[in-house]
Amino acid sequence: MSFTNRAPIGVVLACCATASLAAQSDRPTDQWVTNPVDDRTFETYLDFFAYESSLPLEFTITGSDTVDGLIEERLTFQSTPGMKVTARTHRPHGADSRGGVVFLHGGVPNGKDSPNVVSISRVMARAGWTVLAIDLLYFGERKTDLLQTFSAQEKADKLYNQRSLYLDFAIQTVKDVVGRTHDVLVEEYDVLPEQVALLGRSRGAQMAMIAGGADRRFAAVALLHGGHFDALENGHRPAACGANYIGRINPRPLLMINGEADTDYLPDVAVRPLQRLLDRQSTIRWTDASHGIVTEEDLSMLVDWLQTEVPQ
Amino acid sequence: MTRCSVPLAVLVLGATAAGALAQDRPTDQWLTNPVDRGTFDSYLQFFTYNADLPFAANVSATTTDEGVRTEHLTFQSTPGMRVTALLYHPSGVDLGAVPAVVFLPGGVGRGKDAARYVGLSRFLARAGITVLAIDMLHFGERADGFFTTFDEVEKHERLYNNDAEYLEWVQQTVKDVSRAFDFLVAERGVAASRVGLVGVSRGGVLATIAGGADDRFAAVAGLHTGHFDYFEDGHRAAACPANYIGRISPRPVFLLSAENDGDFLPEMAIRPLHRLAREPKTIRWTPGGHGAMTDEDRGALAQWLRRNLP
Repeated sequence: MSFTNRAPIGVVLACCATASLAAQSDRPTDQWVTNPVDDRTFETYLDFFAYESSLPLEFTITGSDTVDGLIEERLTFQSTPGMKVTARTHRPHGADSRGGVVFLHGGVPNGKDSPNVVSISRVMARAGWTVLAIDLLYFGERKTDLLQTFSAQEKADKLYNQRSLYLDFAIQTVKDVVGRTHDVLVEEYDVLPEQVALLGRSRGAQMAMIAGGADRRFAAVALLHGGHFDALENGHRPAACGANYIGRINPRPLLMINGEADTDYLPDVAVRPLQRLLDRQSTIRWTDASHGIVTEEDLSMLVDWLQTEVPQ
Repeated sequence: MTRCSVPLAVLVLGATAAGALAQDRPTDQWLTNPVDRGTFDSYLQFFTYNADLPFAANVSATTTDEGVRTEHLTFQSTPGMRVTALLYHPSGVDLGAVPAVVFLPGGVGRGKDAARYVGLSRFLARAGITVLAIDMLHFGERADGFFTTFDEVEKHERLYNNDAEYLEWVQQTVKDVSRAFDFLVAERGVAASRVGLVGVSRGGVLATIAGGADDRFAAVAGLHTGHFDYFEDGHRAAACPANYIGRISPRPVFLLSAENDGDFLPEMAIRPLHRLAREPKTIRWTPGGHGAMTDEDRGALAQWLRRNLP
């Protein structure tokens, strides 16, 4: 009885594993994940990420609150001419800041205000960090008509697989991040310039590897559940490909936390090939989690890693 | 004799001073050493756009005057970005049977609607060439408050010498130009092999860049244009016409310049760029200052376009 039950289960599991592997091997990829662009080509990209540093920040606090001993502010600042970035900060009350963290959310409709982003931000703020979480263009308070339902299919059809638009999105995000978030933390929150780290989650992690590779002012870069292509992605321009940037974060410290059960960024297709581009100094953590599940252990490790890697 | 020698001395001194001033003008390394092919190719991805995006064209007015039909229209270039334009064509002809050009005006407040550009566009239309004159971002009907006075100081401080902003503007303009090509072909039935590109002054700089980046344009003409204008002091490599003009070849290029141009200085900003243009190239010099154009110049341009957009 038990034998007859086991046999079909074993067969089913074997079939599932085979099907899963087959599905992974069928996923699109590109040449840069095995062969990133050379330094000369990479240098040409940097011109397009340049921003006007003398542009007034027009920093405005639109709301303030105290939550469990943390100061939380809603704010806006000007990134590029006429482009307002909406953001929120979380920081410890009455204590000197340990340093700053710029946080890029995943592709969720409420952007920086999603509960997961807020809870992770609060954990880091309680550990002494000033966290600046921004909305990516088209998300959160920066929503436009481009995305309506924010379903995975809509995001893929209208943005992630629209190669020229996606490159524009990456450029704007890098300008928002590289150009101005660092400036906001340093100029408005008295964070030391050499103590600013960059954190991205899911789509935000894809953007963080690009921004972190393009700008060397970030002292450390952490990527939560990020990868090369997500499950519906089928291509992007080389200048919008994380594979052409992630290796250039070196020698600054890099942390990647990924889940073995991630069905969005498939481990063997979208994550491990990217990790092979890293140097041995990078920190890689695998958990049993599916996409987006960040455990308390993950957060503890993230906080410990930041405290170790960002010099105080 | 003595009375003549004094003014002559003044002239010599003036010429020497002008020469010294010209020598002091900024330049960059690309004017003598443009980027290599690999670097140029890497720029091209930044000019790509979604060709499937609907044009959502809107014609707001149509007039016919002296054999030229003029349509005032707008079309969508990139998501949410509308281009304002005037389409001139010989009335009563099939647009599929005549050549066409996309026309970029200079950096003036009125953009495509400035009298000199309306006049040149109408002249070309009377010569049997369809003209799609577009406003560049921040100019003409696309004025968005970025400029308020449109004087040279403002234009240079806010855009031309603001290298990050200028590169972004160049990207948008190249996309607009490519979408204008698509509009002529897809919406108006112009033969894809018979579309040229013409730009004047700042529009000439952009035509050089767009013409180098988009090899669908069969011929490219730059009028009163050059590398740096008089107040320009630098730009990013990807926004430098010196890195594009040589890439127009083997397609023909036409360059018209004024001998006494005080904006794009001939020795500093024009002749070095001409040297980078490759054959087949037609270089024409005309008397006068920046923007001067005789009837013969206009005729030469029209003939050259008709010859090269057969």
